[in-house]
Parts: sequence; C-alpha cells; structure tokens
Amino acid sequence: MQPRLTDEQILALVPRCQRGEPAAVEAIYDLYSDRLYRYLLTRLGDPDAAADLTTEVFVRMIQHIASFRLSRKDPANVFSGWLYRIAANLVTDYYRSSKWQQVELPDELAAPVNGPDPYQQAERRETAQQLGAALNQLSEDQRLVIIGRFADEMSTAEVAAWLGKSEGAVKSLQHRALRTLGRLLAPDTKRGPAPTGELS
Amino acid sequence: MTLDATLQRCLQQIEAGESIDACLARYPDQAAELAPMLAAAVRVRAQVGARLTETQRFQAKAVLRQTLAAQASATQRKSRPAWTLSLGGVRRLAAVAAIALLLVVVLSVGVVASSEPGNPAYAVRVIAERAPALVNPNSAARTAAELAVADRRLADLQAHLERAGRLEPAALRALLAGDEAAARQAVRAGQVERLRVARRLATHARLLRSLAERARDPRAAQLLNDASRRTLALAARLRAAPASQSPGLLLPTDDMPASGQPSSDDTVTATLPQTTAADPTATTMPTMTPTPTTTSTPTASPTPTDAQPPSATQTAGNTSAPDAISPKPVVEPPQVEATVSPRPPRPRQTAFAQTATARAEHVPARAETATARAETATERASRTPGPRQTAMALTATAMVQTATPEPSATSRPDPPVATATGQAIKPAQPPTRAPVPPPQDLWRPQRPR
Repeated sequence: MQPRLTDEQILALVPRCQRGEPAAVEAIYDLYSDRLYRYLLTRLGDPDAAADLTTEVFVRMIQHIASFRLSRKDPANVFSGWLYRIAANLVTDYYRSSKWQQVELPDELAAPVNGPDPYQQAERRETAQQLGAALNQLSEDQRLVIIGRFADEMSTAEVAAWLGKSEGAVKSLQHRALRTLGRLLAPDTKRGPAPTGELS
Repeated sequence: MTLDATLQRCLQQIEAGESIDACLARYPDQAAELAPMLAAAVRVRAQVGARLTETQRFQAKAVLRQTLAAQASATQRKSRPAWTLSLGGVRRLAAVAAIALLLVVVLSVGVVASSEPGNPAYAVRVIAERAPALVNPNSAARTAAELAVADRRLADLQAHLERAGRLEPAALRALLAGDEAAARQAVRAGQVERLRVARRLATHARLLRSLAERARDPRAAQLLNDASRRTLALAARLRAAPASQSPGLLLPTDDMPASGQPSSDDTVTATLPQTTAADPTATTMPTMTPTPTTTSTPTASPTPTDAQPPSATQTAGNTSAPDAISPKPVVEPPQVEATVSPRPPRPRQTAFAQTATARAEHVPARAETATARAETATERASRTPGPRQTAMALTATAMVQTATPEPSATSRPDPPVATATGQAIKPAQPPTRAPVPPPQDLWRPQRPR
C-alpha cells in the first residue's frame, strides 16, 4: 500500500510540477502510479494496457498541469480526483478505440520460455477482464468506492474524505456496488455484459 | 441485524484475515445474499498486490522526462524572444499612437466642421470646405461646388454680422474667391451656364449690398459694398463675355466700374432666406427690358438719398417716371454705362443698338438746327406779324420739340442725357416760345389767304 498523500505534499509538489521540474513530476508519479495502475487494471483487466494508460495519465498531467488550479481546501483529494478523472477519460477512450479488440498473439508465442504457466496467465487475465467488465457496469462513484475500499485498502472514512462524501453515503454506495458485482460475477455467469465504459 | 450491517461486519472480519465461509457460517440466514457480495469484494481485493514493475516504472519515467523536455521546448517556441517582445511593445505603442492620432484627427475635424466665424478654426474650415471644389476636374461640377461654398460663406457672413455685429474677413475673402473661381469656370461653359452663374453672382452682390446696409460698422459696410460692386461687375462681365473669351478677361479689377443696372435675371430668389425675409427688396428687384438702351435713365441723383431705381419697363428713349418703381435700388448707379449690354449681343439687338446710337448722335444736330429755325421763324413773326409767319414759327417750335429728346417725367432741371457712347450731354434748351397764345387750331398750319 502506497502512503497516503498529505495536503502539504501536494501544495509543495504541484507548483514545482507546474514549473516543469522533473523531480516533482517523478515524486507525484511515485505517489500515485500504483493506485492509478490498480484502478486501471480493475477496469481494463489487462495489466499491460493498465500500465500504458498509467503512464499516459501522467503524460496528460504534464500537458495540462499548467491549467490546474490548486485548491487551498483539501488540495490532496482535489488533485487526486483530477488524476482519477484523467484515468477514467483514458479508459473511455480506450474502449472507444479498437485497441481492446485487437487480436492477441497466442499465448505460446507471446509467453517467454521461462515465464509462468501460460494457462494460469490466461485464466488470470480472463478473471481480471471479467472483473473489469463488471466494474464498468457500476457508476463512477460506486467504482471508486469499491476500488478505494478493497483495492487500495482505504477505510470508509478515508474513501469518504477522498470522494468528498459522508461515511454513510460511502457505505451505501459500497453496498449497492457489491450487490451489483455479486450478481454480475456469479459463477453461473460465464462472462459479464460487455464493458461500456460508462462514466458518471 | 440488517444486511448492510452484516456486510460491514463480514468485510471487517475478512480484512482481519477471516475466510468467506467462516463469515457466512456466522450468518446463515443472510448467507445467500452475502456470498456473492463477499466474493466480489475478495476478487477486487485480489488486485491489492498489483503493482507496476520496476521496468515499467523506469520506462514510464523516461517517457515523462521526454514529455517534460518536449513541453519545455514547446513553451520556449511559444514564448517570444526579447527582441520580439520589444518589437511587440513598439507595435503596441504604435497602435496606441495611431488610435490617439485618429482620435485627435476626429476631434479636430469635429471642431473645424462646427467652427463659426470668429473662431480660429474657421479659417481652416473655409479652406477645407473649398478644397474638394479646387480639385474637381469637372468644370461644371467645380462651378457648382464653388457657388455652393460661396453660398455658405455668405450665410456665415450674415450670421456673424447679425450675431456679433462684426465682419468675418475670412468668409468675405472666401466668398469673393469662390465667385471669381466660378466665373472663371463658367466662361468656358455655354451661354446658359454663364447666365446661370451670372445670376448667382448678381444675387451674391445683392445680398452683400443688403448686408452692407445693415452693418453697423462703417468699415464693414465699406468692405461689403466693395465686395458687392466687385461681384456685380463680375456678373456683368460674365453676361457680356462671348463664349470664346479668355477667363482672364473676367478677372475683376479695382478700377472696374460696377454695372448699376441689375437685369431681369436678378429676380432669382435669394439664397439666404433670412436675408430675403428681412430685406423686402430682395424679392422685388427692379427689372428692365433687356433691350439695349441708347440712353439710360437720367434720373440718377448724386446723393444716395435721392437715388431712384431704374424703370421696370425702361426702353430706349423712354424715360418714364422712376417713381413708379417702389423698391429702393440695390445698387447705387451714379453713372450708368449704356454700352454694357446686360445680355450677350444678338444680331437684331445689335442692329437696334447701332441705329439707336446713330440716332442719338444725330439728335443734338437736329435739335440745334430746329432750334435755329425756330428762333428765325419767331423773329420773323415778331417783325412781320401774320398768320403765315406765326404758323412757321409754330412749326419750327414743334420741330424743336420733336428733335429734342424729352426729359424725364420728373422734370428735373437739366438732367444729363447719357448717349450711347456714355457721354453725358445736356439736352438742348427748348427755345422760348413766342408770346403768341397757341390756339388749338393754330397747331395746324393755316393756309395764307
């Protein structure tokens, strides 16, 4: 688990990043890359695509950081929400493009000789894709609650602070999200509905 | 316990390390609903260990550095060099200066356009308003423009004179210059155009005269009178000028005598309504028959108070009473040039004029002869009275009356008679008639018995 960002860190790093300091950009990358990667992985179900889009999130951050207005009130969560919105837009663009429908090489050709078992990799990939498809059926708030609570191991209070909502609202979102996910990921359901990339 | 509370408790137990089956065993009534939800949570939690590899991080950071470098170079391209910035500053300064200059020009134009006589900007306005006429290549259009500008100057003169009681020299100079320029242009034009311009000039002269009469300043009145005479002479010369006359011949000179006889064309409505309303003479200009005269009115008085207008129906040899003309004369004609024809000569009129001139030259001789004969006949009649001698004396007297031009109906003493050559001569004194009472029947010569 990555350390939680403090407001002081964001207030110090964002202006430097706006000035184009590589060190500040790398510091922000170290703080947010794994979270964004997990978010993207849960939505895409493809580790490579999630890694590429994680890099792309920070590229877009560099391109648009000059127009970002840092809020004095809760700056860490505001900046985090900005990055997640970039990631969500990239997911949408990803599904609109034809990348996710590209025909992949057979596992026996793509897998390294001394790598893990290709059957396990394929099963893991399929599982991740099912989860991503199910998560895409949720609203953005529900998705963020689920990812924050279970992928990033955040407490309810932390998710509430991150999303700017009350703990009760976060619990309600979590309940509805888990009910939907349970229905979509039931064992009798071979594959969930096609991902739509719907964002709220 | 509600399903939500049970779910929260189970999630806490799973986070603490408990399995799903152990949680469901605690809540068998809600296990069916809890099972898929807890399974989904666990599947999502399986992503906790997902992390980017070091290779992926290294590659990502390299991409980010390249992006930063590209971003910096793009920013440098967008930002202008120092010299460009200074040039931009110069451009901005030039733009501001141009706007300020435009503002000044607009304000100046406004001030000049609204300037009144007496204002320092009025001289500029006079020049600016005449400039388009000066550069107009079309002769007719330039003439019209000059006359229009002259009309405006005349209006300015009148307004300033009425308001401030002073004469605006710039307006008077511009008026004269415009009239002269119009006359120069008109002399190249046809006869109709020349007459039209002459009428306008005569109207200007008449209005100037009217202004001079109303001016309180003697000096201003003198200047206006001079300008009126100058303009009137210009109009007269323009009327008399043949079509081929050089424009230079129309240039007025200071010693140029002014034509004292406004023509019938001068009845053009005045261009200044105020003037025409204030001056009743403006619309009742005396007219005269354009027939060339051999002798003009001898009723001109040397004093302006006795000035009498010329007859409205004055013809050659007809010296009707000038008192029949009600309006005051606009011009002061102490001496009238009969040789100046108010209109361009026509063949028939020229013949008339020549005949009338010859007659006028012959009239004194005839009068002298008749007078001598009458004196002789009277002397004979007194020596040897008789009906025949008396009849001869009466006949000679009648001849004297016929040969002698009749004086004015005003019966002024010794009015000068202007001949066709412009020389004023005294008419021959009628001989003293014989003291014989002139019976009515004696006018016919009686046959001697």
